[in-house]
Amino acid sequence: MGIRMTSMIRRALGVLLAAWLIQSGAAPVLSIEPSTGGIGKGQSFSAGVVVRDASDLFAYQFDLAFDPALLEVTGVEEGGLLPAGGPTVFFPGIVDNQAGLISFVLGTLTDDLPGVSGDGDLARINFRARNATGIAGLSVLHITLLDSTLADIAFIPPEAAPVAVVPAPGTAPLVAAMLLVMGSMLRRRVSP
Amino acid sequence: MANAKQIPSHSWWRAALRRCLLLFTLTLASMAAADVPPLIQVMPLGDSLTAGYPLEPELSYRKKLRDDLALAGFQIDYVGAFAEDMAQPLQDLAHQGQVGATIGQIANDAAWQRFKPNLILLMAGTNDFRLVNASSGFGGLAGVASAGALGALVEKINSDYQSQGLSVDIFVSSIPPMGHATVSGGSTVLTTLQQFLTADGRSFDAASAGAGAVDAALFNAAFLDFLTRRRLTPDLAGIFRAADADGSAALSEAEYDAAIKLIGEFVLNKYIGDYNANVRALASSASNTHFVDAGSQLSLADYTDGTHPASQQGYDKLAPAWLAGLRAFFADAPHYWVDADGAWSNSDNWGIAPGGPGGAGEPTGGMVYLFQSDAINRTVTRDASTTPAQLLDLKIEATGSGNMTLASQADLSAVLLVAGVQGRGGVVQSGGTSTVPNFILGSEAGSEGVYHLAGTDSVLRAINEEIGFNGRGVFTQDGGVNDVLRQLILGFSAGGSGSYTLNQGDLSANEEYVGLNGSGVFTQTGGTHRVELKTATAGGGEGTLSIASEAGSTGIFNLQGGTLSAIRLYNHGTFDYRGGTLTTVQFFNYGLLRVRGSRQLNGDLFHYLNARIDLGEIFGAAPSRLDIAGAAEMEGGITVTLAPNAAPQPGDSVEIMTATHGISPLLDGQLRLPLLPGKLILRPSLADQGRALRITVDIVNCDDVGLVRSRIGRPGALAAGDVNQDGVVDVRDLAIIAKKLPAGVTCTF
Repeated sequence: MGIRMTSMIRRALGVLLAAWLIQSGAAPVLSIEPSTGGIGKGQSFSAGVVVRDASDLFAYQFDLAFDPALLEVTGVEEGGLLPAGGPTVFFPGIVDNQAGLISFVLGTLTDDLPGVSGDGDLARINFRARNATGIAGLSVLHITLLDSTLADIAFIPPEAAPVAVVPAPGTAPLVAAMLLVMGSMLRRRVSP
Repeated sequence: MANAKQIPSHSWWRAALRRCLLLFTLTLASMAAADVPPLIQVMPLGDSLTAGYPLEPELSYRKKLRDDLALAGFQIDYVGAFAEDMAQPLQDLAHQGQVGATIGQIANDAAWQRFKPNLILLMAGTNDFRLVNASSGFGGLAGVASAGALGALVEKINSDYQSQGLSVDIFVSSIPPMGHATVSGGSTVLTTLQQFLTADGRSFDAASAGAGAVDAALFNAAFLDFLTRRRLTPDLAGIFRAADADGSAALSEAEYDAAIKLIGEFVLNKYIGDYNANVRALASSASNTHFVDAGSQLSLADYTDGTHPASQQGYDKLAPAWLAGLRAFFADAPHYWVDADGAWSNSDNWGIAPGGPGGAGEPTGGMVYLFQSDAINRTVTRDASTTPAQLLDLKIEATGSGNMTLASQADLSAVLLVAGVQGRGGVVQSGGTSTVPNFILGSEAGSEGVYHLAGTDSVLRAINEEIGFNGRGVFTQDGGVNDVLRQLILGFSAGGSGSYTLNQGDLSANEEYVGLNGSGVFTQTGGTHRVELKTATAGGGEGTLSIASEAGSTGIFNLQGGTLSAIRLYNHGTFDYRGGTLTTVQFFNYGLLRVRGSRQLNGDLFHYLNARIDLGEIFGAAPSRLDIAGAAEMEGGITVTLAPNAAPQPGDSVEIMTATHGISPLLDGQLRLPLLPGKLILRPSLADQGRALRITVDIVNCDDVGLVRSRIGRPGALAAGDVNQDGVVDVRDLAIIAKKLPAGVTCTF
């Protein structure tokens, strides 16, 4: 009971801190935004790693973890945010479809350019659903954001994003049911 | 009544004053006496032969022995109940030789209990023989000859000392022969022997069968079988001739009586001979008993009373045997320094026990201990007056707060020298040749040994030198020659730490370890230092200098001046090269080779993976570079740094390394170059047909960025592309190099 209370207090404080950072505009917010919440087996989709409220962003790096039993990565593309600021150098990361991990997805502006500000994609990951069904979570890990002096930028990390893999396209009822289950699972995880 | 009170009062005051003055005088005397160590106390123990009877004054062997010992450099103090002069204790001839004393009486008297001498000179048994009644046979003689009583006496002496936690060395001597008195006196033994020899048909009348004379045949018939049965084989023919005063080939009654006396002397001295043999055996049975053959120095010709030398010259004949025994003992006995500061050559400064009396003589052999445990700083000086010494052990040790130092200015030889056994010890050698096959500074954990070699003519020769065996060792050479036939080791054991500073002079060794299992630091600022073939070793280590040799050890060699040469140099620690010249046939670098300034290496360099060469600053006033007269096989990393305030311009270049026989192609990430300001970058290249490693200043381009990008994700301290050298190539590295791209440059990958 005590542990549960402590966990709840911590979570509440975290929410309050995030709310304060958002309110004050002090930190950019990262998110994972899949192009769809459900996908049929063998079908492709993409997920963007998005930053909002960026300020003087010069370079970034992250890893992305996924369920290798349900998904495989088919490509990593540079997002539009950083190139808006000038010439960039992009590295699409090291993809390991066996382990379900893309490491060192990174990009940087060049020269003495100022960093970019605002909202936009850092990178877009292309997936293909494997021949299995279930709910695949996408998580971004080991995030680094650097400003134009190459100093670290504080940020709010993204929540995991679920994607349901269903037997065939157009099985809307099944997708709806799975999303309900998924929502229930997420609620349980949010409210221990 | 009133007067009676006043007088005692006045008397009390004067008495108190006298007591104070006496106490003051005694205190001064004791303080003065404390400056001079007491001498070794020797007790001459025995009977009238020890006393010197019947001469006046009674000197026996004692005076000549003491004089001869003094000439040999040994000072002793005789002690005993007789002739003790308390006013001049060091000059008297005190003794414990009691006229007429048997061994049993000597044991009962136990005079050693009163005087506690360090050494006892024991000659006893003569009176035991003199008192034997042999009228009925030789059994009594055989009993004395077994030396059982003497064995019991020695045992009692030892027991008395041991019961008090003390020890003593006992010199037991043979006793002289005895004979019939020619002037006066006589002994029970000879009188009764004569009775026994003439009994049972061996009287003159019986032997002559009434003929009034005994010829040789009759003489033999009377004694040959009789003596042979008793395993006595005197020269009867010789005795017959000696007794036949008139040469008539027949013995008159008087001549027959003389012959009997000669047979009696033979019998007695045969048993004395047995006794002396048993004394010798007794002496050899324990380490603290020593045999002295003084008795055999006298013959019957020295006597008139049959027992005692008739002149002082006769007694003096005993002294050389005692002297030989004592000299051998002093030479072999461990010598302990017992004074404060002083000369090695001063006999009084040496004792045969720690803190014991002095006077044991200048040590020239055996084991020598310079020990102290108090707060006094002591220096023992071996100067030109010192007798050359060939010692077994020389140990220098201070366990108190004071220091113990040997100032060695003269030749010295010791099989083993240890400075700092468990405490601290030091040697300052400013002259002479010290030959020390085994040399240890800082033996045990917590110990410290220090050696300072100086002076142009000083020579130290050793087979092995272990500086910091399991303690701490410090060697400083400001001159002279240190010649090590086999191994010079700094930090022998895991707990040992050793340092060697060579400022001037000559050092050569067959092998050297700077940190074998422990830690070692060698600093050379001058002088000549050679690790060369002197003795072939099974492991082929001759001529090898090893730094941080074994796993877990640490070693640093600082070369700041002078010349260093070695056939092979293995560096697993740090070799800091800032000055001097270095010549090695092969330099194997597994650790850190730090170079400052422009340095030369005469020989091949093998620079292994995971090793590092730190070449120091470039583009400064005194840029570092390494010029190798040989080949350079490069696998390990090379680092350089930018000199402070350096402002390199595009096109500037510098050679950081050359090798006359070529430099192997550099591996990816091997060369770690510093970041330059602005858009500049340093590019390495092998120039001069691979004989020079050159660094050129250039402007960053897409290839530089592409190099980092292609290494993204690689870990490792020397990973190529790890621009910020944080151990991994990531966005921080790429951002750094991308930021240096000139404006408007777009790279396509």
